[in-house]
Amino acid sequence: MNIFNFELKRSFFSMVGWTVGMLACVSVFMQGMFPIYSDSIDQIMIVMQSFPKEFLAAFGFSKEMFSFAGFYAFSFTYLTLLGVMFSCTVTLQIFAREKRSHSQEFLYAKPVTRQKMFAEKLAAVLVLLVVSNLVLVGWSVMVTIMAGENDLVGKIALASISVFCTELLFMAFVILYSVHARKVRTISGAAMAFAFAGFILSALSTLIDKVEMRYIAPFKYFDPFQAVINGTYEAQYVITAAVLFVAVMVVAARRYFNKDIRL
Amino acid sequence: MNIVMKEIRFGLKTFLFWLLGMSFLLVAGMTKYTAIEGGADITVIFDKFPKIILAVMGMGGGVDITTIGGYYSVLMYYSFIVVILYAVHLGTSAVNRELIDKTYEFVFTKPRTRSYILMRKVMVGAGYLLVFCLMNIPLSFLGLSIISTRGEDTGFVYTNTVALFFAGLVFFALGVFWSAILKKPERGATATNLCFLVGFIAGIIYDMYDQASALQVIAPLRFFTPQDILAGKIDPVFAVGCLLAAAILLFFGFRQFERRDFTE
Repeated sequence: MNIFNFELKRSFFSMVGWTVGMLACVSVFMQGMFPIYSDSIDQIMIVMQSFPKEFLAAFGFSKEMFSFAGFYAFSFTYLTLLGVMFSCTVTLQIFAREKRSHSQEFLYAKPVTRQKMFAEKLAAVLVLLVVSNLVLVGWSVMVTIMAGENDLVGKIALASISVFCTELLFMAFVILYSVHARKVRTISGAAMAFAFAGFILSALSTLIDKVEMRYIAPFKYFDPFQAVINGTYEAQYVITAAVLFVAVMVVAARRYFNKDIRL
Repeated sequence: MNIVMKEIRFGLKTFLFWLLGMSFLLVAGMTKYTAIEGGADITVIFDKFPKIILAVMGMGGGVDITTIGGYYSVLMYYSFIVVILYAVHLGTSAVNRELIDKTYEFVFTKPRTRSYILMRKVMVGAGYLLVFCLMNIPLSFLGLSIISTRGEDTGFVYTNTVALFFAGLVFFALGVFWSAILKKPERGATATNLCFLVGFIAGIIYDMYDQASALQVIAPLRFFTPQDILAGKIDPVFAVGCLLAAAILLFFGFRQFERRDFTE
């Protein structure tokens, strides 16, 4: 349990900081921006009626978009971005710690199997992610109730979980990266690169709007829009994510168990 | 010359890696564009709709995405992100790569001053940034060639390249500055990335509110608005501002680097 305790302690404040940032993000969008957004909808409804239907469809206008739920789903692009940065940061902190401080021999000389080390580090990351996301889901539900949208609570909670799932997926990617990389110089640089790569891929998949593109956009596997409107995720992407997650974790773990230390 | 050659070799792999990402963005992004023919004039929307709704619809830049230039400007938004992240990497690693790798004792015992060595490193970094931005031209035309351009003016590619370089340069200098003044080598990268994150968020808010126009000053993705770029204009205030900011940051970065103590 030593490794677990140590890692948890070291990354705890980082988790607190990122979680506060994400809560602020939810509040800014749903309590700060949404009222202004819904006020301006009335103005444009009149303008919109003068456009032909096909034209509006081409721009992705839909009734759902203008609801509380729709705006909540919209804010998720940014919330997921923050969540993934957080997940990449703590995962790198924990899994690349010895590589970065040149103390791998120190850790590996301990009478602990690598399997146990890996498990303890993984447990530390998972605890941090779970705690952060419990707070986030709770906060989202609270904001929803405060906005008087009580019947949406279940769907909003479901949608909030999408952040957690995406974070888990990126955790796996980052573990793979950290066991393979020769050097991890800066955590923030790598975390930004991972998070914005996911962000840009998801934007591209929206822009290109082809089915194949969605499979290469991890941000889109758990689509909050589907969750808030239909109350469900799309099975084929959930399966993709699960398969990808298991495959990446297996490869990363095997490498971690067997690798030589490079100094 | 030794330092320059060594730095160029060191940065090459990363450069190619980022270039691959950029190519994917520009070429894959262009495969979809289809002009929406006829119908109502989309520009009506921009006059009548509040900014916040346009932003949610993905037209935050205030350009007509049914035109080839408008569509390109959506991709441009993302290429700004790529360029700036790369610039942050170049700027911070020019200063602190050797500090993190603990090889600074080796390089700074050479019979050259610190400023001389750092100057070479910064020049190589800026060179990589410039080449990276210039690669935007062939890549953009490659992307544009996929879709039939029916003779539209594509001069905005050049304007955009200039804008990319200016925005990138500020963050390159910011990376040098933070890395030089902060004591722990890694903090420099964290601080610069945080600056970008703040600027990124400022850009989102700028897109959403008319009242937030003052935020343009700190929003790197909105220094040069898509409308200006498509019209072939580079806002001179921001262009000069970028150069000035970069010069000031580099000056103070160098001064601090000359004085600093490397022992942790």
